[in-house]
Amino acid sequence: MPKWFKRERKEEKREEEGGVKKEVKEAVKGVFYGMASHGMVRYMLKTRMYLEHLFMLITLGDMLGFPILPPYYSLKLLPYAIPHIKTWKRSLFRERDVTDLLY
Amino acid sequence: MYPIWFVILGVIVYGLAYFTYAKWYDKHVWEPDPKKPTPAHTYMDGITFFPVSKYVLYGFQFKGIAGLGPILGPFIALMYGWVPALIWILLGNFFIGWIHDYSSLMLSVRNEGKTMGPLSYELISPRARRALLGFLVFYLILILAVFMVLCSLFFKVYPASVLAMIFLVLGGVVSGALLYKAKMGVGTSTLVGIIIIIIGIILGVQVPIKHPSLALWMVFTSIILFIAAVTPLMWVTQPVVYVASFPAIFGILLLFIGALASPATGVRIEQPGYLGFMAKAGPMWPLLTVSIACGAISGWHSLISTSGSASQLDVETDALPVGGGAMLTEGLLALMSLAAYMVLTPGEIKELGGVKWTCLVHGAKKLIVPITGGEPYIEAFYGLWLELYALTIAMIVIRFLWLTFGEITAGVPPLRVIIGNKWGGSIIGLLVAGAFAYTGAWINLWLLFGGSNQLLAGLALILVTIYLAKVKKPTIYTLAPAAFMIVTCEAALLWEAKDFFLKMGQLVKPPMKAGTLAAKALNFIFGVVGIVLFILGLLVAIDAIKAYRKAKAGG
Amino acid sequence: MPKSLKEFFDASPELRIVVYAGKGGLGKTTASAATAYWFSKRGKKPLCFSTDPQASLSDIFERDIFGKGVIEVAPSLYVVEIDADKRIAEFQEEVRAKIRELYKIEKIPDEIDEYIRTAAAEPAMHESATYDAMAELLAKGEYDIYIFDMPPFGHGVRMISMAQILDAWIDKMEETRRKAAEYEEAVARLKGLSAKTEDEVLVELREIRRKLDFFRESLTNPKTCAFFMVIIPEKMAILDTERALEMFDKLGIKLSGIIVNQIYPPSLLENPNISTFLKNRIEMQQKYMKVIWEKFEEYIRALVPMFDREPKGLDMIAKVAEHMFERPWEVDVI
Repeated sequence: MPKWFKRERKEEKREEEGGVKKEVKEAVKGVFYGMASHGMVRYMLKTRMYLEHLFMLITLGDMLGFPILPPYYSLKLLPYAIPHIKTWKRSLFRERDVTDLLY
Repeated sequence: MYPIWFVILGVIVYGLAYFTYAKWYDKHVWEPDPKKPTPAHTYMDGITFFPVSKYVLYGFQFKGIAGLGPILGPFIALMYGWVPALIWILLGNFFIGWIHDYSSLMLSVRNEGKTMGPLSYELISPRARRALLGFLVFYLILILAVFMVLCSLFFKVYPASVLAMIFLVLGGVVSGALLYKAKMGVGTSTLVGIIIIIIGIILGVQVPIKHPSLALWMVFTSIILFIAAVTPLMWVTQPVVYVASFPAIFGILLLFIGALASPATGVRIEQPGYLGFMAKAGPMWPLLTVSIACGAISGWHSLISTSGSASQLDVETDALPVGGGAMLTEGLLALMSLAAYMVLTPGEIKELGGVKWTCLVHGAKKLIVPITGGEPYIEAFYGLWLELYALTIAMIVIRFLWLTFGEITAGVPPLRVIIGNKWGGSIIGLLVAGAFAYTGAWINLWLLFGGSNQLLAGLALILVTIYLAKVKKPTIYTLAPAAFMIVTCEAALLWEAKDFFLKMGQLVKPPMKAGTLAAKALNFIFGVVGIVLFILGLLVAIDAIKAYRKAKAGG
Repeated sequence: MPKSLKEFFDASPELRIVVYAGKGGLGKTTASAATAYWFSKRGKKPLCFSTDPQASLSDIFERDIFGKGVIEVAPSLYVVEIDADKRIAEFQEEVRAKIRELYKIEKIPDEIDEYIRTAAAEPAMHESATYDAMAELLAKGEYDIYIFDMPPFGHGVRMISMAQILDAWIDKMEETRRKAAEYEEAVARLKGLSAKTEDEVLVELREIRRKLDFFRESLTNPKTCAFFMVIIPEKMAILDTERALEMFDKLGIKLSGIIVNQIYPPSLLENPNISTFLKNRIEMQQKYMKVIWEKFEEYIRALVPMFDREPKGLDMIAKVAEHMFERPWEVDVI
């Protein structure tokens, strides 16, 4: 799991603990962040995902029948690739659609 | 009549919409269950699917849907009077707008976060998906064309905003570099970006850059767009869109304050309430309903709801404030824009050279300057404000466009090499859009864009309806709006196509000469685009009706 | 006369690796063992390493050293015979442990575990594990000279060519990782988090590349590595050698010499009671010896006779070494 992701979970927890004032502050901050940056954050994450999937194909291609890297090195890199395997397979097997690319 | 009444009326009507109709509909039809896991949880990957708070998602959705649609669309009221426009913005949103945004969001959430393409494939037919895809390509090109020409037009009309825009792009690039390269904090680098924008506005007023040729400004706009499209996202597009969001939000707030303060400043609605059913552009129905797109209802929103927000919804109960709430807020924005157009007297409009989008800046000035003073700066700012909306959306659309080209040409490698990448795709996109925009038939272009946009909304609504029929839920609340939108938009597309064919070679403006072969050819192409959009829309609609019948009867 | 093996080694003071390539059964392992023995007698600290899956160092030294790590079989003569299966098992466990540690989970997901098991069962895994072990020993540099055998068209040589291909892939991977990390950091910064994303994968990739490069460089540098082919005077062996020479050339490896093994002493022909079988065989060998001299004269470093018993035990190894180094041109068994 990407590092920033874990931190966001923590933020959410804090939100639950706070009072009304904190809630309002979180709301304003959230709306502002949502308007200013969130769309781009998503877009960057998607770009990152494509890179990640290319990496996965090279590393674990033999999982899907495209052996590129010798299995010894595939295994060495496997632990780091685990969080992305599900998305990767899903994205490969799921029929891609233009509307998936938007936003 | 003060503009504040538009706002008050909007708050009352939209408040009613949210707290009575929306709540009731929500409970009776979708029955959101906070315990049901959303796709953001079931498919969580931290990339496309991940839950975010409803506040963030509300901001995301609002920013995604609030473009030039609600801001510029109300200009059409200058042709028909403000009463029909006001009624459409209030009732259109009440009965169609929010329900469309909200339902398409829920539709995707209840269907594993699937987007419009796969949904139309599954719910309607394989042909519907292909038609939708073709439709989207034209739609994106039209958006790009409209926003390119608008941005260029604003550069031409507001010489003070040129330098301001250059500084805004610069401010974006600098703050991006500070953030990512110099590893500065997000607060500091944002501040630097904003200061550069302020300096740009001040300098812009001091050093206005004038040039009468629209073609030159189109080249200027294209260059900015091209650079943004081919450089890595983090260099230009991302930081520019980011810093631009601050003046974008500020402009809305200022307009809001101006409207609220109108009884104190004495600014009144000066335009006539009703001008007649027929105008130069054509009949009020269907044209008014497609012109005022995003304030009342917009198909673009279904793309944001399904491709964007649906994969991030934390709990189902967040869907109403996010999908419905953002749309109703946007209605308020459309009302304020309407007010800004309507505060100008018919004499002032004449002085400005007739019915134009740019009248908005003068209306905004009229609302705001009595409070703030500094007229030239407000003018430069609102010039910039319009440009940045046009430019940032165009930046995003051009990326969508070449991604779409890449996807469409995936099966044809030689073609993919040429247009299926960011270089070729961007150039083709800009050239085609530029050629469209060059004609000067901008109002027709806007209506063509509006027509396709609203048609997309109708198609999204019918998708929702089919799904609801499948799961045995009440369908009338989406079926009726869907039917209304589809009929209206098909009529509008036909009307526009007819206009282009009948006046072939005439719907142009200088520098393009009327009657020339090029003018005829372009007008002809426009007409064909209208027909193609009409046919594609019809195909989806026919298949949709079949699918709906089947869903109602079967299972 | 060409340069003898001894002359060759005397002229290459920087030599750190000696490889004997050749088909199975031609005496690569024996030659390796004899060379290691010879170096140990000259006051060096050699390590003899067998990459042969049907490991035979245990046979030669008449001692079970299989999978036991480095063993000193005679004063300052070190040998090691890798148990690849054991290594693979350990490696799999390492991977599993890493996964448990990274994600704080007890049980490896079935799908992942199945992948680990199937990947480990592939034949390529065996060679990778062996050469990884070899590269590790080389990298440690605890010995003066490393001697090992290698099938010419087998894994080891492929490993060298693979290193070249892998280099290109790893370049590509590093690039995607770098870019991905850049995006990840940008995201973190937009969220107002100060992210210092140290990409562990990038570290791992660099480590893999470093190992492969080290391995390739060690084997392709003619100053530090000598490649010998072991052949016998038979037609097939000559053809194979020509083929191998071509391939070595492609990989940028310089052949350092050829050891002709299992030569029947021609003096046997002087015995009038010689059996027809033996006579024919010796004559055939003589015929091919001529061809070998014609084709590869500059490469020939030693002629080793056929012994009347298996070259097993330290005494026999000493005898082989004596033939290889001290009497390179005599094929009468001492």
